[in-house]
Amino acid sequence: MRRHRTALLLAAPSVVLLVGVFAGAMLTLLEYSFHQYLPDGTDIAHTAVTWQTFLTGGYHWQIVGETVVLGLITTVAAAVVGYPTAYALHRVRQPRWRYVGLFIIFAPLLTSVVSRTYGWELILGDSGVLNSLLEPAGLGPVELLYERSSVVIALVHILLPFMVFPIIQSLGQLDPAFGEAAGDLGAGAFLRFVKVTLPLTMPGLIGGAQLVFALSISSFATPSLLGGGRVNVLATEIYDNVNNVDWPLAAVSSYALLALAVVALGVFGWLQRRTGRAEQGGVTAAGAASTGARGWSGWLVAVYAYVLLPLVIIVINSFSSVSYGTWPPPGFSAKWYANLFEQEGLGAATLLSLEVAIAATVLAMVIGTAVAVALVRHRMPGRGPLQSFVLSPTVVPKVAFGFAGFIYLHRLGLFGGVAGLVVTHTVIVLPFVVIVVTAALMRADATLDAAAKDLGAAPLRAFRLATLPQIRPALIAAALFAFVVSFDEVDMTVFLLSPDQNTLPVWMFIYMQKFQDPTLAALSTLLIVAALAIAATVAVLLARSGVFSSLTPSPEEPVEKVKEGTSA
Amino acid sequence: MTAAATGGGPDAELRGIRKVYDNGARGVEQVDFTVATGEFFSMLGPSGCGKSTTLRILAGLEEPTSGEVLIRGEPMRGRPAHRRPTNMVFQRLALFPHLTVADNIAFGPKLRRKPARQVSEIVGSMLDLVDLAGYDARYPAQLSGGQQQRVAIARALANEPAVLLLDEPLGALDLRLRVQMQQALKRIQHDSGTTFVYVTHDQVEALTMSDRMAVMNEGRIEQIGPPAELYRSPATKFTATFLGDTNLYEGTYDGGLLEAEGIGVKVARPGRAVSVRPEHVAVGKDLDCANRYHGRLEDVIFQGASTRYHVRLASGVLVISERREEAGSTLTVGDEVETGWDVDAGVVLDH
Repeated sequence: MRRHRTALLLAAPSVVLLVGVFAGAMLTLLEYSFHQYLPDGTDIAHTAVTWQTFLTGGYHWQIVGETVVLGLITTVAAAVVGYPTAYALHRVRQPRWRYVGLFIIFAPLLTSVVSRTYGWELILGDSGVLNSLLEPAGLGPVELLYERSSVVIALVHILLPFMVFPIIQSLGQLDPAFGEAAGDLGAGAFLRFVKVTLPLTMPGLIGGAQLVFALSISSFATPSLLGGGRVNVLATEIYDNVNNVDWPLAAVSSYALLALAVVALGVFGWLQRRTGRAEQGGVTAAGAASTGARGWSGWLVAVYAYVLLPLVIIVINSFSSVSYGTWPPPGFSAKWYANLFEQEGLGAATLLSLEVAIAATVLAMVIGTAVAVALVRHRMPGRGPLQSFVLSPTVVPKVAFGFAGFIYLHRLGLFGGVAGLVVTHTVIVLPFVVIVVTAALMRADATLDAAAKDLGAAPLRAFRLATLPQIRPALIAAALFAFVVSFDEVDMTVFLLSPDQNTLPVWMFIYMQKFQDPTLAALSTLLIVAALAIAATVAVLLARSGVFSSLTPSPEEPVEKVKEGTSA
Repeated sequence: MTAAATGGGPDAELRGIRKVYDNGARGVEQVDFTVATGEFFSMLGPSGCGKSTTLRILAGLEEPTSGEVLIRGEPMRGRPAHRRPTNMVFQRLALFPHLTVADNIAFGPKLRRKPARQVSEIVGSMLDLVDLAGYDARYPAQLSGGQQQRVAIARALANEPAVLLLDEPLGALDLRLRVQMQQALKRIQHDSGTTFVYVTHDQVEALTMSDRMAVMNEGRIEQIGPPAELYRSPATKFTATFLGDTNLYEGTYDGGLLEAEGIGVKVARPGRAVSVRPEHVAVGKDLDCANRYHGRLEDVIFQGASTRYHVRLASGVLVISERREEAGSTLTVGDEVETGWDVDAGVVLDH
C-alpha cells in the first residue's frame, strides 16, 4: 500500500466526488424506480409495479422505439454528411485551409445548444428562411418544424463534429502507402476507396456513429423545442414525468435510457472490434502526406454553409424590427438588444452560470489533473477499472443524471444551492479534463520529470518545473472546454434548479418555450461572439500543443526526403 | 512462371528522364538506362540521390517533367500506376491489414477479374514461391517481419508484372534477416524469371544481388555496369568512394606523376585523381613497389579475416592498407614503416 500512496492520494478526490455524487445519485435513482406513486399522492416503496407498467405498456415501448429510430436516422444522416466532409478536409492540401475547415466544423460546439436549436427554428419555421426560398419557386410551403425531420436536421448539425473528429483521425493514421499499393496492383480511385480506405477507416466511422447515436438518444433540449410535443423520446418523457410528479416513472424511464445507452455502447464496441484490423500490420514506418483534393471544395463549401447558416440567421434576426421570426426581416432595429436589459432574472442567471462554470472548471481541473497523473505516471494496481470509473459519467445520459441529481440533492438537503450545481457540473466535465490531460501526459516526456528529481527537485516541484510546461496548452484547452460545457449545459441543469434559480441556458430554454421574439437572437448573438473568441483561442492553443497533428498531415514533402529519410 | 517478353524492346527503358519539384526539392536529371528481360538491376546511392524518385516514375506513381518511360517497348506516358505492367514492393510494405495473406495476394488478380479458380491457383503458386504455404489465412499482423516481406513480394508478383520494382524492401529488417532475405530474393527472382529493378542505399546488398547496377548521386547517374566492373574500375570519384573504401588522391598530372597535396603518385595515364583500394596497398619494410612512401604506423585495426593499417606520411597524408595475411602481425603502432602499391593498382579518374 505504501508504495502506491502517492497514486492513491492523487486519485482520491476524483473517486470521492464520483462515489459521493455520481454513484450516490444513480443509486438513489435506482431505488426510486422501485417506488410507486398512486394517483392520490401516496408513495409506496419496494415495489416493482412501476417497472411492470413501463415494460408491459405499449406506449412506453413506442417511446423507446421512437428514441432508437431518431438515434439511428440521426446517426446515418451524420455519417452520410460527416464521412465525405472528413475525407475532403483530410485531403485539403494547404494547412491554413485545413485549419479554417476544422475551425468551422468545430466552432459551433462552443455555442449553446439552445442557440443552435433556435437558429433552426428560424430557418425551418412556416415563414422561415427555407419557405421564403421555396415558396417563390412554387415548391412550398413545407412544414418541417415540430416534426421528426426538423429534430434530425438540427441534431445532425449539433452532432456533426463528433462524427467528423474520429473519421478524420483514422484517415490521418491511414498510411497513404496502402492507397499507392492498391493503385499499383491495379485499383482505380473508386476501388482504392472501397477496398482499402473505407475498410481501414471503418473503426473511425463506427467510433463517430457511437458518439452521435449516444448523444442523439439522450438529447433533450432539441427534441423538446423543435419536436413541438410531437417527437416523444425517452429524454422528453423523463422531463414530462418529472413535471407530472411521477418520479418513479421518471426513474424507470431514466434507467431505460441508460440501458439503451449501454446496449448501444456494447453493440458499437463489438462492431469496432470486428472491423478493427487497422493496426497497420506490415507497415514499418509512419505515413507520408496525403495528396491534394480535386472536386471536393464544392462539398466543403456546402457543409460550411449548413454548419454556419443557423448562426448567421440568428445574427441577422437579432436586428429584426418585428417580434416574429419571419424571413427576410421587414426592417432592422437594435431594440432586441435594448430589450435584453429589461429581462427579469437574466442578469442573475448569467451570474449563476459564470459562478457554477468557473467553480466546476477549477475543481475538475485540479482533481482531474491529479487523477490523470495517477493514471499515466504511476503503475498502481487497478488502473484500468479506475480509468473506466472516472470516464463512466460520459455513458450516462445527462437527463438521467440530472433527474438522479435532483432526487439525491433533495435527500442531502443541498437542492437549490450553488454547491449542488457545482458538484454535479464537476462530475460531467471531469471526464473531458481527464481525457485531454491523460493524452497530453502520455505525449509528455516523463524522463524530464525524473531528471528534475535527480537534480534535486521535490516531486511537486519537479512536476511544476518539468511536466507542467509540456502539458500547459492541453491544460488551458481542457479548462476552456470544461468551462464551455458547463456554461452551456441544459439537459441536466434543467432538473437541478429551484424555482428561484436560473442558469443562462436554462433561462433561454424556458424563454424559447414561451416566446418567439428575437430577444433570444440578440442574446445568442452576444454568446456566439464570445464563443468564437474562445474557439479561436482553443484552436490556436490546440494547434500549438500538437493535438491536431494526427488530424492534419504535414504539408506534402518531397518524396525522396520522406521515403529515404526513414531508411537512412 | 517465366514472364515472357511480349512486344519489342527491353523490359524497361528510361530515356532522358528529368523530374523537377515545384518546391525546389531535388528531383532527377538526365536519367537513361535499359533493363533487359530477366535482369536484376539495382539503383544504389545515398539518401536523396533520386533513386526512389526514378523508381516511382517507372511505377507511374509520379510523372516525369520530361523524358520517356518504355516498358517492353511501349511508351507509358500518361498511364497511371494501376494501368502499368509494373508492380512494386513498397519500403513500408503496405500489406492491407484488413485482409488475410491469401486476400492480399489475390488483390491484383481479382481486380483483373480472373476466374476464382485461377485466382486460387495463383495464390497457391505464389505462396509456394515465397515459401509461405499454409499461411494463407493469417493476417499480416500475425506474421514476422521476414514473412511480411515475402507476402509483399508474392502480392506484387501475383500480377505477373513485366518488371517488379522493389523500393528498399529490406531496409527495416535486422542484419541477419536481411542476409537471409537477400538470398531468398535472388532465388525468387531466378525461379520466377521476372525482371527486378531494386533500389537500395546499401552497397553490399547491391553488389551481392545485382546483375547490373547504377550508382546515383545528386539526381544523376554516375555509372552503370556489373558490380565487379564498378568496384574495380570506378569512373568517378563518387563511385570510387561510395563503393567500398579507397585511398583517393586528387591532383594534377605531369609526366607520369599525379601531383596531389602531400603525395605524388605514379599513374598509368593522365587524369584528375587516383583511387587505390586498401587491399592493394602493401605495408611493411623494404617494399618492392613503384609507389613507395615512408610513414609512421598510426593505427592497427583487427577486423577478423583481415587487418587494417593507417599509415601517416610525413606530409600529413593518410594511407590505408588492408591485409589478409598475418605477415603484418609484427608491426605495432608507432613503428616507422613503408607503404606502397604498383602503378596498375591505381585507378585513374577523370571526374
